[in-house]
Amino acid sequence: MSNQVDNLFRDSESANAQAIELIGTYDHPLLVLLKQTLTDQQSALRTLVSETEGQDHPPIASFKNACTHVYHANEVSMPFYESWERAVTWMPDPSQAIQEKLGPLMKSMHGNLQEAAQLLESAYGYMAVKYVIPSFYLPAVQEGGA
Amino acid sequence: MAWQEERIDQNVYSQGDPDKWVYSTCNICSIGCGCYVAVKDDQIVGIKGNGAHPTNRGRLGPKGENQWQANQAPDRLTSPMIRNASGQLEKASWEEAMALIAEKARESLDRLGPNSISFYSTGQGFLEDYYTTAKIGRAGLQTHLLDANTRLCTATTEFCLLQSFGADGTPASFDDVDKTDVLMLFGHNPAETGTVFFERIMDRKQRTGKPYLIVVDPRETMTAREADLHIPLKPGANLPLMNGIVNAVLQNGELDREFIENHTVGFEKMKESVDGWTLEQTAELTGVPLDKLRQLTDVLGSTSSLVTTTLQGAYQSGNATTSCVAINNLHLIRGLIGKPGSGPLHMAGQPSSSANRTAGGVGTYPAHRNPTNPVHLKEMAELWNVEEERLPAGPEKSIEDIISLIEKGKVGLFWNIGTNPMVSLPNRKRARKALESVFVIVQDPFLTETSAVADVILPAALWGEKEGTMENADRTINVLRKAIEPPEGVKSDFEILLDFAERMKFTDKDGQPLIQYSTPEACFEEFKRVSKGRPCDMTGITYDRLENENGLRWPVPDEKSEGTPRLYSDFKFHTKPDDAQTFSKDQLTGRALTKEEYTEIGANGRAILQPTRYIPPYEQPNDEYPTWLTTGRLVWHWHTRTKTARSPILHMAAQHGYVEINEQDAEEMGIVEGEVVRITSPRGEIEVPARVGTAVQPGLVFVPFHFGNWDKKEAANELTVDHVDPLSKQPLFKQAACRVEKIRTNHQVAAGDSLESIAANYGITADELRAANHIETPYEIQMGTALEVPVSIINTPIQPYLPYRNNM
Repeated sequence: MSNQVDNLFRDSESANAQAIELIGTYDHPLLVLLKQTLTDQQSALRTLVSETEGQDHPPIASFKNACTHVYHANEVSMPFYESWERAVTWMPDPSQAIQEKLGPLMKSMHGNLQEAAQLLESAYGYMAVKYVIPSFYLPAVQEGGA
Repeated sequence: MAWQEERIDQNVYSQGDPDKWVYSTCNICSIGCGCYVAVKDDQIVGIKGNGAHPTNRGRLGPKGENQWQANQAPDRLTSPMIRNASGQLEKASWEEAMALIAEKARESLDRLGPNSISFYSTGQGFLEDYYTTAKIGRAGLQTHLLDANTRLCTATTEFCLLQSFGADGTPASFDDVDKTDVLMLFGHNPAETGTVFFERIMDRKQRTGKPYLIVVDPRETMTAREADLHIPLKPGANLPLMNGIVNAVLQNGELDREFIENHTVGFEKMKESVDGWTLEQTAELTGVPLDKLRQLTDVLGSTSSLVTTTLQGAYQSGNATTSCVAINNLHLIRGLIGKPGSGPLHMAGQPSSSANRTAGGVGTYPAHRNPTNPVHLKEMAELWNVEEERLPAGPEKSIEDIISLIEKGKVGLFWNIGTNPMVSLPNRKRARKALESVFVIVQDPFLTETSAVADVILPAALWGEKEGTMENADRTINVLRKAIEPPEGVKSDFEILLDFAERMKFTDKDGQPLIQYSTPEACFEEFKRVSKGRPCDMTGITYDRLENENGLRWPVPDEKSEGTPRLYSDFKFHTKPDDAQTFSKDQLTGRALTKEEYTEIGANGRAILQPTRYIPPYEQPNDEYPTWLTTGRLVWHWHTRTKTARSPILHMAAQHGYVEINEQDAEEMGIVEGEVVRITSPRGEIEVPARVGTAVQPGLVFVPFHFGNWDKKEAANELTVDHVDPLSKQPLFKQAACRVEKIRTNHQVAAGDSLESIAANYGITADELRAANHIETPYEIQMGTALEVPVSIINTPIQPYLPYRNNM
């Protein structure tokens, strides 16, 4: 795995850990779901990093499961986050206090994973990553077809 | 056959007999009643029920009887329209409109890529339309943004079935309702939403006393009034109720251990998830008295046959999919599935929403194929003769995801077919703002509220003017023959889609046109090949068989098969990884599982008992918004009234929106019957007359969602919340917070004033004025007294529809 991809996953893991800590014990139902998703994502990111760390070009099969797990978790975490953002705009909630810090972390995680997806597609080819990374993270689909 | 006697309901307005009666199926609700369309002088002049059709034996609901009047409405669109440079919609030719659509589609593909085009279709079209949408969308445009208003009404059906049984397709059918000892209608009000189905239940009940009828609903609906046991739970408490029931059944040992052992996986995790849900705790969270809960669990724990239906009260509430999965769990642990008179019967809202799911027009690929499984996409690529690379993969996107993508500038074209999202989507202000920012095509027989955001409008044919098939709520495929030609200038959805495919020059990998069929029947024949070997196998169906045999329930694997009234009678489920329609989702968060994770579950043909963890409603009443808001349907209207408001009878029966308030709350606030009040949520406000009664519980108000004219303040979806269920992504229309406010003017009593004179001056009665001010005697007003006067009082009588009472 290229250093660049490794670093992106590592940065995501770090942002993920910060987000989980930030949410802490806030109990807004949407934050409970977001935290659960992030915890799930964190565990998959750890596995993914350990599976790819220090390897130049590992076979995709060796990290496919953890990688898909990460992207699927990220795909549901963003809507939870955006729903919570709307919810606390509509009704004040103590958890609103973390909005300013949580937003950038979520965006950074999503951006890193999007960038990593592009690099993985470049490295392995579209068909190799097609069933590993959901279509909305893949530039080949987003910018002109396969 | 279910009914003892046929009854041919008929509504014809014609001088002299019709020239012909054309075989069809009702296009209103999901029951799928057989009917004939009356034609005279090339016009549709009426309808009558099909006495030989087992679903209805000739009966029709009030909306079904009157649906044909929309065909003759004077305001039918007969020409495409394009929004001009000054923002006005003006008439255009088909050539101009379709050329513009093709140009915009290419522009969007070039600028933003394939996933930038979204189809948002309907549950009222035909299977052939949906399949064509799927083929054009997936293999032509390469878009993953295929959704429909079925997301608002039946997505939870699909996802609860995927979670438990591996594939879509409701296990029990209406035949089982005719056989069961106990019928639990869970968040389902068929007396208003599926009247013929409710007549069928009551017909048997009045003859035999069966089934024992349980109705779970926070409102005392017309259905609840006929129940043996009504469970009036608090809003958002479906899952606490189910967890309490399942735990009680487990504690009492009322299990089919052999069934659990041989035909399910996941028992321990499921058991753990309901551990601690005592009936006492359940009573506290649901608001249902303990003795009622005991009565309920006694019945459910001891019955030897059980059918549970679900609909919007389950699907549009918090923990939607998980509540329905808990119902599946109950059936599985009691072994009450795949047997006569037993099984979950998760319903659908619209006449063909199930067909859209089956055909792949929403969510998954055609014929229940998994969009994340390369095996399934390879099959689809071969069946369509396209490169596998062309077919987008990954978990589905819902309409709320699409709205979010539009907001982020990632969608260039939004094609709306046969639905009216500007009335039906939750938090419609947000939806409108999003749709105003994208190129929108509206394909509809009429100018609807959604026309306000349209860039192109295409006039589409209505029921009776086109041919095709629909799938009802119990997997029955019915055919609808074309009765008349559509009005000049109007095309069917099918023709429009074929025109678009041709203009876009979509081809297969041999350079041949991607769409090679030209009629709905030929399309159906292609879909049959796609369905072969899948759960919804339709190989043995033909249009002629559907007409001659009055519908067939899939699977129908060969021409000798008479269809399948009940799924899983062999207790083999679609949970082998390469058979399953998805690799399922995490039951709490909705995260799509990987193939490896799904394989690890080890179901391999056994049903999955999923854990059912409760999450409280995302929005709950607080000091500023102290009241629960729920929305729903009336017996007299369908969806956003595009068709039903054009029937004089239906329109007269329910002309405008209202809010239902409990009499205790009304009394406390001094709100009088018919008084126009303001309902405000964090998202908007409406001003509608109050209907005071006991149908809703204290602390809850109900607003019908059918009304949404931009010029009036009566759209329920100005108020609703746009959060979705994590698994089905169905919006949670049933629970939001709001406040009710009186809209009053002040009047200072002057010399010579009396209650009567003041009331007359404001156009209300003295009784209304007295009630509005909590005045009990005429002597309580004196000169200088400040009175509050309601600004408007509108009488809103809604006639009940009670055909099932005729035999009582």
